[in-house]
Amino acid sequence: MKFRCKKTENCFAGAQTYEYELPITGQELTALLGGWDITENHRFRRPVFSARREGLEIKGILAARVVKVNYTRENWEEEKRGLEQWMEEITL
Amino acid sequence: MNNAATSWPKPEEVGEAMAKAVCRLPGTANRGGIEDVNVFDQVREELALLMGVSCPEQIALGCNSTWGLNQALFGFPLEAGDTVLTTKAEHNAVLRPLYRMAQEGVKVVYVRTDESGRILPERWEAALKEHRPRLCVLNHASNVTGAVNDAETLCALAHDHGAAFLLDLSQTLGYIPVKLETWGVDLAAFTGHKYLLGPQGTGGLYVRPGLVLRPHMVGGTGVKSDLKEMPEEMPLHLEAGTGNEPSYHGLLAALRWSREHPLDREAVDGVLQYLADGLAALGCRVIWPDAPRMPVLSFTVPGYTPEEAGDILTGSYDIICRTGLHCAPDIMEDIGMPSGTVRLSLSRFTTRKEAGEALAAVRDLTESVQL
Repeated sequence: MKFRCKKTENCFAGAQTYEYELPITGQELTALLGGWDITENHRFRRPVFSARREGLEIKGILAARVVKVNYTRENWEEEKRGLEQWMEEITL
Repeated sequence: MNNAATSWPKPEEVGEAMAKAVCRLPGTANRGGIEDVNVFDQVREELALLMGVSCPEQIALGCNSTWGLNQALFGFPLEAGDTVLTTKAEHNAVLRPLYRMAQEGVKVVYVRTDESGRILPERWEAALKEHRPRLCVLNHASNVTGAVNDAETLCALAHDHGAAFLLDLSQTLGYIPVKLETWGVDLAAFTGHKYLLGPQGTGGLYVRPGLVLRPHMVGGTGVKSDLKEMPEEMPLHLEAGTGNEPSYHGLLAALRWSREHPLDREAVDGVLQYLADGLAALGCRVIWPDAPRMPVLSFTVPGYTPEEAGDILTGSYDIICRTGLHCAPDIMEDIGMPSGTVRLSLSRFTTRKEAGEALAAVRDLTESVQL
């Protein structure tokens, strides 16, 4: 799966937050995230999801193709490499 | 609802004026004759009316408040060992220059705010007595809580103790009446893109007549090119380089529009009150300063970090807000919100219906946590 990635900043210098533009929706992504703790909230006008595993979090709008990933401060480079490799290996 | 960052929408005349300015012949960089339009001077005239100053030429125009604050802080004649008194409510546009000045030997003292983000005159005076600063720097209103400071009183106290007074008008100009000459303010930085309703890339610094700054930035002025120093007369003294003419045409249009369409501050405050009451009723922790206040609400939503709440408000409801520290990290401890806040900031165009939609969205958040 091809994707575009951009670091997004917030108020904290150590934050490691990235946005990914995917060819699939958040809903379709959650179906691929086996072993992740996934929560969905359909009460909001545009329903959202959050997927967590070992401090790593992917979240976004279920119907949108952009998701936000919060990597941990301590291990973000390894986590980012791993997640991106996993995404690259997905065949749609 | 992010007008404390940048106002939106703007009067449509602003964009029209900018588009025309880009398409026509540019100005003449201080060399115009009597018949030429000098947009910068026209903006100065409008700003002088708004600021309550009688010498428009004492208003130097640059690219934003940060430009003006840097000119003031680095240009004021301070030496190592001198003290600057400021507050915990300041924006990084003040704090970061001061951090640098502290590295160069200037002592910086920070006065704490009350729990609403306001500076109490008695704390200010106690710090003046104890530290005897040469310069005081005060945010006219907190960009986090909206609490407006009593600039006239705080300026008078600074003068009573022998200090010059720099006022940061970034949040207030265009919303709160300002009388710089009556108040005796020595220096005042402002921006054009917040409550003046102008475009980004505009802002500057008022300098009291008789006070001479060392220009923080030097360069061409279009005239007096045979001098090796910046010309001594204001505003040329502080205005190096080509100005942002299209944006200043936009700001001029905004200033004229605002003069023809006076702000109904009571109406805006009514919408703010409605929003604040609604958020509090939903269990949010809301910072609600006594009047006078800017149309800014900082709050937290139980069960969510500010970032989580802001992401949902924006992503799920198209409510543009700001979350986190708002470039004013030091105030968070004083207002008891160390992890930051969600901030909604209204404008004269924000309707009660829009505020109601924001409340409905926050209600969804709070009810979702309870499920």
